Amino acid sequence: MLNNEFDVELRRVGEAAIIVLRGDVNAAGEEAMKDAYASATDDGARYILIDLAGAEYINTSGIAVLIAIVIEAQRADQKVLVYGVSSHYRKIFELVRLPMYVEMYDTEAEALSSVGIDPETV
Amino acid sequence: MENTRTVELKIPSEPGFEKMAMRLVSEAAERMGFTPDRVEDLRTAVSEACLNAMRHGNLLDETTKVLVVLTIAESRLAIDVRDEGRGGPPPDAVETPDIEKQVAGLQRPGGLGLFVIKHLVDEAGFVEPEDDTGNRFRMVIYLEPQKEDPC
Repeated sequence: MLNNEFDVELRRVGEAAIIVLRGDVNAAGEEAMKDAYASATDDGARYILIDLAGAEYINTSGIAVLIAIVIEAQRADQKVLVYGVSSHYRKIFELVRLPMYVEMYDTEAEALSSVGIDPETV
Repeated sequence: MENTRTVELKIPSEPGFEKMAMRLVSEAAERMGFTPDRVEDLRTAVSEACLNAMRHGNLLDETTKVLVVLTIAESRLAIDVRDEGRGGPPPDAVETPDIEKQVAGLQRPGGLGLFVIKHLVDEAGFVEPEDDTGNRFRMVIYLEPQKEDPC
């Protein structure tokens, strides 16, 4: 009732899949987030980029879903990158030591460049 | 003794309603003069405490309520989050979540809420409820920071 509308968008850029999360990142979005990741994997993505610039609210249940995706990505030999995280949520991610397993960038262009994809081609 | 004011909010045990507590606590903390960073920390701590009360204290039974009580003093803001204790007593200790074990598949992802709360406020922990029913989780944040920022 009080949740902001949650929306997941999946885009493909070369070997990278970009999962855009908007609204509330919490337990209610678990299935949609995992489905987007599964589609990206089925499509052969080597890099999973998660765009959190439109995430208005992230709670620890949402972070647990991100950790679950990291676990699957490690098994599938994929690299996970996150960008667009506010300074507050970046602090929370650092508290739970998520950056040990996820590379964090400010923008999509920086994340794409880090894996050798020219953002100008997007 | 310091002059205090109290504000109470009762919300259903339905995820989403924790946002009402977040708004209330933002309003109080901003009026008291907390910095925007500290207000954000407090919003997240209150959100996690309410969700814990809904899930673990009230087992997401929508007929139960979570009571949020703000005690506003000149130098500090205390927030009590009370549940109805359907899930039994609170944990004795907060275990540090082991993300290495979680990523290695040796531990289920989660268990982060209490750990995060303890790093965002100056004091946090379960206290004995006055009427001996349910669980009472208390968080306190001071206008003058009491400890170093962990990051």
